[in-house]
Amino acid sequence: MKRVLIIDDDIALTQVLKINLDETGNYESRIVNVSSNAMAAAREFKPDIILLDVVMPGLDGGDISAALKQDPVLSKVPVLIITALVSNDETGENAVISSGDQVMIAKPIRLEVLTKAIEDRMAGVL
Amino acid sequence: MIPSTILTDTTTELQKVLQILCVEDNDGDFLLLREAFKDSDLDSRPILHRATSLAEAVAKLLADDAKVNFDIVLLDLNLPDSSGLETFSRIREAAPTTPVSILSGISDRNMAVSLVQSGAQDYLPKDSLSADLVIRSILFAMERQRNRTEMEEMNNRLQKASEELKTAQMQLIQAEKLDSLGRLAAGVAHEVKNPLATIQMGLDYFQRKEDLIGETGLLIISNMQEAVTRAERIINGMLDYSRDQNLLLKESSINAIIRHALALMQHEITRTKVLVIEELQEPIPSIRADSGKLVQVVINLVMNAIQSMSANGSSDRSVTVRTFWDRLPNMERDEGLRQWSQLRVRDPVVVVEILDQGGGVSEDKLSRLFDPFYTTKPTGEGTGLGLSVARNIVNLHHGYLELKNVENPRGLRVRMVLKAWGDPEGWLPSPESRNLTQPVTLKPNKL
Ligand SMILES: Nc1ncnc2c1ncn2[C@@H]1O[C@H](COP(=O)(O)OP(=O)(O)OP(=O)(O)O)[C@@H](O)[C@H]1O
Ligand SMILES: [Mg+2]
Repeated sequence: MKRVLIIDDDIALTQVLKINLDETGNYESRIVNVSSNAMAAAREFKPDIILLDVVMPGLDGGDISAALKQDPVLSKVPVLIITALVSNDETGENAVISSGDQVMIAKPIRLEVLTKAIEDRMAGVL
Repeated sequence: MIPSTILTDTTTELQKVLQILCVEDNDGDFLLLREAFKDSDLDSRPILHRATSLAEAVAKLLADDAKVNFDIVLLDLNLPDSSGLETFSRIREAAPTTPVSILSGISDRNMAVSLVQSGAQDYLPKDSLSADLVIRSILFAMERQRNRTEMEEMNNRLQKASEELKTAQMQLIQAEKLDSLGRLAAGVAHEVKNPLATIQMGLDYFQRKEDLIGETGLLIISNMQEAVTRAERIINGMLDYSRDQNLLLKESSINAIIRHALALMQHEITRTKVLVIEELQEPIPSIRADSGKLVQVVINLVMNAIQSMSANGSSDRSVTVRTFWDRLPNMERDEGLRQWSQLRVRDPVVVVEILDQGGGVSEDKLSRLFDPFYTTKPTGEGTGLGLSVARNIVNLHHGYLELKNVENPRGLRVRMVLKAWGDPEGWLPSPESRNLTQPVTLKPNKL
């Protein structure tokens, strides 16, 4: 069982996401809705992968990402950035975008696309 | 207006020998006038030319081989070939800038007075001509004409300034509209896509429970899936529209953009004798940009830099325009200008730095510089829109502008940070290959 940390301020989305992920039987996920709690939660939960929202009140995805990189342990955890701000040619099949060492997934996310991205990211092929 | 300057001005005017065109058909009146000048105590007697008809007068005024530039026209309104107002307007037409003084008899006194109100500089009553009166009238007439010309020039300048302001304002409004449309689209996209994502996740959940839901349920789910996909497409279309439609985005070279902008400013650079030092890093990643709009930004920024040094009269007079690329965590990020949805940590960025030696800006004013209409330049010279237009354009490119005071010598450093477009050559060092806490070592090409 891989541990997935979901950092996103949208409560409804994170709830359904967690149910879906956990029901696959492959993941154990944990939700953080308030981004200022993210670092503490990450240190305690020791995730295998982090799903990170971009636009959040207070600390945003950029701040969290920077903080993760400063942390000796967490900097090694792969991150999938989930964002609402992509365009038509970046959805559906192409919902997973990697640019440099960033990997982004477009909202809304199909579960199958997400799980594949999670696996690829953890395997280091994304 | 200061009277003493009028006097000195007119004195020099008089010293160069006045050329007077007297349009008068009556010999007696002309002789009287000539006598009047003989009595004058001017150092050099004015030269009196004569025309006896409107046609002759117009011919004299228009003759392009004429060596004579008349300083004033003394005009009798009633000529053999013309009379009254007609006479005056024909002369005006022929010589719009030459002062005209009306020679009036008792009978046309009223007409003369009203002509003075509508463009003639003065009138002289023929029945009481004296040297003093004529000379004084001529001086006044010339002075009035000068004032009028000055006023017209001022007016033209004012009009030009107001047109420039209007253009700048249009640019600002346009850039601002595009920028706010982009923001609005991004805001709506974010607000709508999150609930869509929840619905999508819900659908994925129920799709797995076929046996529980039954055929009708599955039909409903597939319709809902269709609806989510459609809504997503609409939102994306809106994002695409606000993003690219209004910018001519092409893969561009920042160095080419800077060279183009500097070439356009060559005249200004030469005129102000400011040394512009180019330190453009080569090779440098390309950017995706509307190069015409970015040229406008660079011109605004370099112009400000040049103006800052003429304003404080500093003796060091160089502007450095520098380009380099970096990755975002190394950049000092202005908290107020976060564009994180577009620029991400470790993204390769292309940076343009414009560094002047103009003394910088006091820290409390720094944040005001981007305000539309904020200017410290004299009226007619600055609209105060340069930086706000620049910032809007850079925002449209999902980059940011950053201002910072620097020392030794004191000046302002303006940075434009834009996302690099790809790494086609593969020559950007990987982030792991260098120490990210160290700034990039630059090897600028001095040009
Ligand atoms: N490089 C600089 N050094 C010092 N002050 C600057 C510099 N650039 C801008 N400023 C200050 O910021 C003000 C606003 O600049 P901005 O470009 O928006 O308008 P402007 O230059 O006054 O007018 P315009 O650009 O329309 O000619 C300037 O009037 C000046 O006081
Ligand atoms: Mg300016």
